[in-house]
Amino acid sequence: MTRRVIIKSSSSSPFRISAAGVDALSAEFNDLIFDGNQPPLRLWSTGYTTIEGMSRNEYNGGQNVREGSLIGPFITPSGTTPVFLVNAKTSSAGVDNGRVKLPTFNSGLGSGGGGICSGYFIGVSFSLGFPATPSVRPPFDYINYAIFKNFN
Amino acid sequence: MMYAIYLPDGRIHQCNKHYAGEEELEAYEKLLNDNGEKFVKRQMAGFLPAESFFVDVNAKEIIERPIMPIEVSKPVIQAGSNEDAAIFTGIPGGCLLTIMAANEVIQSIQMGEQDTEIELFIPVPCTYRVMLDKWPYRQFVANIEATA
Repeated sequence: MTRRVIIKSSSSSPFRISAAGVDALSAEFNDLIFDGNQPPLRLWSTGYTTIEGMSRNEYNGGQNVREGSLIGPFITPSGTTPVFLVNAKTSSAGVDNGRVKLPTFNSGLGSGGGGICSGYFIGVSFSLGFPATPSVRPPFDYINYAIFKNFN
Repeated sequence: MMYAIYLPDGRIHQCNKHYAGEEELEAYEKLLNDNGEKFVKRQMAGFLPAESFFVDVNAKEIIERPIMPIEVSKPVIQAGSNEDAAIFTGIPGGCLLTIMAANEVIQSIQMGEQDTEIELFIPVPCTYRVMLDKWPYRQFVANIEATA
């Protein structure tokens, strides 16, 4: 097994490590184990935030989303952004058996997602209460996330 | 480091685990303090689901939510019968009772402090989900099947 390692002072490609048998200098991205120009992503944070949905009356009055509190800040090197994964799940075993769902804009029960705004992660919920109890908010949703951050 | 962020009554509404150095963790704690968030931190594997844990706000400790000592007489009853009922006993006073069928709420009743039992008669065959909520107890869930 031979791995060719190049350390140069050139700003364009300071440090590259290729897979065995591949020339690091000309290797394509998939053959590189490390490239100084492609900052590696590292797991920076995981967790959940809980967000109570809207009552049916609030929704009928025009509200269509509820936001969670800020998580962060996510400061990454200039020109890079963190990568994040999100899914959602209702807290109530009585609703849809509490299954994990991918982010959805369906205004049903247990729907939500999240995004990064100005360096902060904010979870959102699109859950609606039931018509039979129009003033009651539905059980809160878990908005789960994993965030990978660029490191230089 | 795992951070459990809680509401004034001890409900955990956010649980974050940061894989970062001391400097970043200090910055994160400063952010929480600046936002007026209450939190406790713990070095641990996994997370603390809000359904099962809460924060004792005086001791600032994470503890398990208690389980309601409810017993159900039977899971299957005869639909439309005036005599066959599922009886729930041992209910803490002041629970919120929610009954669902086909993923929709059909009844939601705030029970009184003296109400510690439920006698459930069901007119239409279906599987009904009965849920009882009271802070800081865990949610109680039971399925009652009403057969034709």
